[in-house]
Amino acid sequence: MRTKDRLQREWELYKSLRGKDLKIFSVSAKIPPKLNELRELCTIPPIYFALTEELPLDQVKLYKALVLTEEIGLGWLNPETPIIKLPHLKTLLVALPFWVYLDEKFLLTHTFKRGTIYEDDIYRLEDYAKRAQIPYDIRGEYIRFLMQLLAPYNTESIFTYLEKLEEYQFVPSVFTISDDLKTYYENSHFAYAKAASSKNVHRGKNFFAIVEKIPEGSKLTLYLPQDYLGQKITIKVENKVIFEGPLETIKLEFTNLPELPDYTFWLEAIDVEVSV
Amino acid sequence: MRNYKKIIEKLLYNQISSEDYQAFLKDLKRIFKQALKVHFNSNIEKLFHKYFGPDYLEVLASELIFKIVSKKESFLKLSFISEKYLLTTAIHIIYFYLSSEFKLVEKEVNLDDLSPTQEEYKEKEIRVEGLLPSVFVNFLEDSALNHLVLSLKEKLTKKELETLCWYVNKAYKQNPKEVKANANVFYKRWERLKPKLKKILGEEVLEGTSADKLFYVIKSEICDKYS
Repeated sequence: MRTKDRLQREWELYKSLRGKDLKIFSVSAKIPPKLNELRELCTIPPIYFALTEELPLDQVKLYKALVLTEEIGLGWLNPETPIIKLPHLKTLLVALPFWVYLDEKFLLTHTFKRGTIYEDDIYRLEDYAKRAQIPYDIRGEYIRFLMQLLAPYNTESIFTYLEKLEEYQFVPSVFTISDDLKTYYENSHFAYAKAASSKNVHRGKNFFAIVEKIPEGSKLTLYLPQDYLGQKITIKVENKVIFEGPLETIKLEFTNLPELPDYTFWLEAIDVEVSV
Repeated sequence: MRNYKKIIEKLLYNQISSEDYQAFLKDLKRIFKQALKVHFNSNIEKLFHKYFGPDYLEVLASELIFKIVSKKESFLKLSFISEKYLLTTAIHIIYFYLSSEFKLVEKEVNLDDLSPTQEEYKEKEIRVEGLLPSVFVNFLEDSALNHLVLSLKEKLTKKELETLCWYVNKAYKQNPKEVKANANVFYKRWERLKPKLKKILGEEVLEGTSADKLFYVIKSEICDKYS
């Protein structure tokens, strides 16, 4: 019987070695991250990232980091699973079907550079990460465990978790902010507030918000946790309600935004509550 | 629990005595033996014997030392290096050689040559591949399917297992004479069972290319034993 349940044994060995939290170390030679690089997180057992996209948001550079592992039995899902061989490190990696967003500083401090992936090959990793479904078996359990471990280091954890889901299931609900409210904010202290470091993204305690310029003005996109679906929620910006009702999608878009010189404080004033 | 920190530190600072080195090699050989036996199978072990010769455990142990030296910084950061970590690293090395068809054998490890730095790696160009050798793919598929079948055994009732076996036998065009109820009853039971199976196995597995293989494993691991 023993040889028939080797995935279970690999999973148990992994868990006993990893522990509940991710213990990460700093690397001594700090090499700034660049697009298309393969980086190794300094932790035991290691986790690898392929940096497939660079997102310049304000002063911070974010990288979309596809996750790879040496735990082949647990990470290999089917013959389509991309692999990477590092002969100089006697290492074989398989791609996992998810990604995280890591900032430049985190990558600089905690990851080793292991080489640069051919640009033409990057799409194979991206395509797989988007397409492959996380199975419901023990391999899925392992993948979800890794997602949870990485969530605290993921600059936009809510955003990331939902981005993939959204492609399959979610069309945003679009709302228009009333003209009265728009005028109210435009005449409030927000009109004069200018942050030292201006931001158009904000990660709240239970949401992720982005303000983008669109031809008609500005648009706010809010990403909310999946477990809020179906629950009655209230979204306020400094005590003024901009949305109230049952949540039908986890992605909400608001148009007719107040015209403000700087959205930093307005974004920080957003509050999302679940009504009991 | 044994801590390998001291011996690995001596190894990495090139202060290891010949006796200690031999003792460490012996430990690593034992760890590889365990890895092959518990985490792989005798067929995989035979492959290593075939390609690396009778000293395959020693070759693998040297490869692990190579890997420790290549990842010097990570190993030195740890205050405790358990045998479990060495076992995990041994498993990773076995995976690497299975993927490389045993081509990259380092017969000898010269510690003086083994101090690669990040600088040396940083310009390495890496390819993304898709193909693993069929022997490796079969091994991985079998591992996943065996696990799924064991989950089925745990999660399905006796009656549901009976229905599953009826379907598998039918799929294999065998005469399900031994079943007591008539086909209609089983067909209805099968239709009721399908959503539960999809939940356990996932749609992809149930309708994907590995379905045949899955049915074969169900047949040999559940139905043949069940009957």
